[in-house]
Amino acid sequence: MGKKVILVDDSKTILATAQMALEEMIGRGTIQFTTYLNPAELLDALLNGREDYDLLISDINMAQMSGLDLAAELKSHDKFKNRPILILTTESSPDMKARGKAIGVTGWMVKPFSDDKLIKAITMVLGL
Amino acid sequence: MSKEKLKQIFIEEANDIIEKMDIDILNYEESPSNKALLNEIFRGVHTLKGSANAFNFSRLGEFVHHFEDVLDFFRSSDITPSASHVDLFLESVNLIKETLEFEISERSGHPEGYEACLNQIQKIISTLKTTPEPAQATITCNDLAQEFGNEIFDEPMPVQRPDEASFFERLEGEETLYTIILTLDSDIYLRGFDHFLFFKNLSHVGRILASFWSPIDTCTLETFDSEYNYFRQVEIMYATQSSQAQIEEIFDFLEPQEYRIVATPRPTVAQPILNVVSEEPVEVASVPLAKEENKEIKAALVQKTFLKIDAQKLDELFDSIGELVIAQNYLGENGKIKAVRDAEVTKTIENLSKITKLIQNRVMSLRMIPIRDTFEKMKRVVRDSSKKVGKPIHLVLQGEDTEIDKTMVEALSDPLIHIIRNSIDHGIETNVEERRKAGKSDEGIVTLSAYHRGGNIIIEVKDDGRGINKEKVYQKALERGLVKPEDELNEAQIYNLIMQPGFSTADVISDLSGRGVGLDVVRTAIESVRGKVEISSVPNQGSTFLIILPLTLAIIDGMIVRSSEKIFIIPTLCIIESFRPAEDEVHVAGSKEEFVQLRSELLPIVRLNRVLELDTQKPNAWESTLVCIENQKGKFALLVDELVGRQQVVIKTLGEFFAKTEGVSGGAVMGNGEVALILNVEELY
Repeated sequence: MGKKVILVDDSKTILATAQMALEEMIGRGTIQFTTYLNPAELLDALLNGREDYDLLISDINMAQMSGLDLAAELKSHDKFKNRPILILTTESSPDMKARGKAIGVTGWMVKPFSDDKLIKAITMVLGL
Repeated sequence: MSKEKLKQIFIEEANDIIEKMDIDILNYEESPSNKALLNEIFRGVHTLKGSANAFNFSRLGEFVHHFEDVLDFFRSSDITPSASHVDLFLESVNLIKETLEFEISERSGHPEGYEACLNQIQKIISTLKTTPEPAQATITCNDLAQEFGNEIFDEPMPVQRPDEASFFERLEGEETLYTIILTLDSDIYLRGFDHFLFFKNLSHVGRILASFWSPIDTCTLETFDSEYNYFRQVEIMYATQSSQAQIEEIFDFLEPQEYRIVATPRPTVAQPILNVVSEEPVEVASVPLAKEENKEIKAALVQKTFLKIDAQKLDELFDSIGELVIAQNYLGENGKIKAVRDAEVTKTIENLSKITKLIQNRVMSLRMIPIRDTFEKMKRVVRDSSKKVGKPIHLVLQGEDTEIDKTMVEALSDPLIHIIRNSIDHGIETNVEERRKAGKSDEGIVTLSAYHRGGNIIIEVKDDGRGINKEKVYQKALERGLVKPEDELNEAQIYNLIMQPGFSTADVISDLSGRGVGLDVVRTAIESVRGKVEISSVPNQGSTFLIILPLTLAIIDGMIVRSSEKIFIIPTLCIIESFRPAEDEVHVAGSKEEFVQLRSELLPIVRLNRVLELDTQKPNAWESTLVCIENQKGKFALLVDELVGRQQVVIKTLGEFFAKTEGVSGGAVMGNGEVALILNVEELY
């Protein structure tokens, strides 16, 4: 069974782009890939055991909740505490990054991202 | 998925965002204290920025970038945008829309006003920011390092190096020997990392010859924290053919101070990097890491939120459902099956019928979307119109959650805009004094509502203006030759005249609703989706435009009638009533034209068998059934042999060849498998 990667971003374009980039990895069964447009929905599914992940990739600026808040919330649960979270965003101010690191964010990727970069990041963080 | 398709997704998304921004800005103008709305707007722009750059839409990217700055400024400051700022925001949204169109069509240059608007945006920032906010203490990497207890690592802990020569002996082929020093922060586990992960990644592109671990402090079992990284430094002897850059990729997500990769030169020029002994390092034998491969299991791809379906496919599905309904009806009404008086058969058929109905309803609901978006769009129309003609207008929305067929939503937008502009331009009084005198509020009120009524959906546009001047409309229609002086028109018919082509109610064609097209386009558009427009008005109290729409486009509610042994379907929407006249109510004029007295009205009788040239029989009108139908030209009585019943039928086109058959708009397959033609009442009389 491949490792489970979840991407949450409120842009369908980003979700579709990532989906396309990861097509081969998914096809080979290296990873399972699920996307969410709504972080609140994802959080709910995670906390209620309907969803799980080995790696979460999240946007920051989303309608229902910020990606950093999502990360912080997940990090406060024992189950998810040590699971890697990558942030995929256009914002990369030192302030933001500092907040991210304090929360325990694994790494930052800046949009727009290349297919290659996304694949490498996932491969790297999951040790695939 | 191709790049083109992605672009398509982006364009769709961008259009949604732009539309929403428009609405949000207007709502924000109403409640400027609502920071959440401003955040919404900001987020929209932000999303656009991210994607625009991904598609190399640099002009769009630049514009939204500056727009984002302005929004961000207001978002994070206490200054509330002024009315002129909001105007600029709306202008910016327009420009974003236009720039997007430029980008999509790959036109060079900029849309009109691009530079000017951008300049204004930049001006806002520079003028508002004249008093710089107190400089915030920026957190530097060093502060961070301190915060995370990093300072003690600034000088790597000295570790005893084993004999390097032994490592060189173990190199194979073109391999280079690297020394990798990991000084991972203590919070590393919380960040989703562990040393093992790096070892695993390293083992993919090279061989780990040995590693030396330096524990940070001794801690007792009681104080041991499993989430704290006690290894202040790990030194890895690594053999690989990969370049240093490739190794660095593995540590991409680490802070720069957390790792160091050093290519170790051959012993001849050996310069030990670390040569002071302080602690006894623990040597850990390198273990080849098994790759976790599991190729058989394909990852299931789950799209949790929405499924995008090609509209074409959905239409095909509706078609098939139509067939299913027909087949089901056929089964239910088949004489042979009915003859089988078996409880089990009956039960099965009933069950099938129930399920068919359920499927039909569910599939139909797929096409239904709330009318909210269309209504929200009208806010902008009202605002713009109100500014243009200088009349303050308050728009009231009701029943935004009413669901209507998606195709109709698209067809509804333009007619609504037209009607609303018309109401504001011609309906609402120009003079506030005039309104006050009539006991109305200063603000003109336009109400937009949607609701269900007897199998139809009604969209209502109501204004509280001066109402339609019947007399004036009639006179104008006479002038334009739309009516003849001898024509007798009832109230509704007079109001309907304003939707005749070539009719303009305003004496001066205004900039707003004039433009050479009248309300006739409204009627054409609504009729194209099998709807109907009704106008009513009360002098000095206002006018109401009712748009009556069928629930769906694929199915109509029809009255089945028989004429000359054939059955036909009349859309119930056009039927006013049906009746059998008394003999003395039927009049014949000049032995040819027949009329029937229906209460106070005299209606012409149209014989269906004659119009469609079915036969030449001429049964007495008082022995037949008359169906009173209203079309554009007025009312008439359609003479048929009898009414068979009322039924929902699935509309089928007659194909290209028969499409233009006069008097007929389509066909439907009846329960018994027979084909019935659907009558086009506009063409019957």
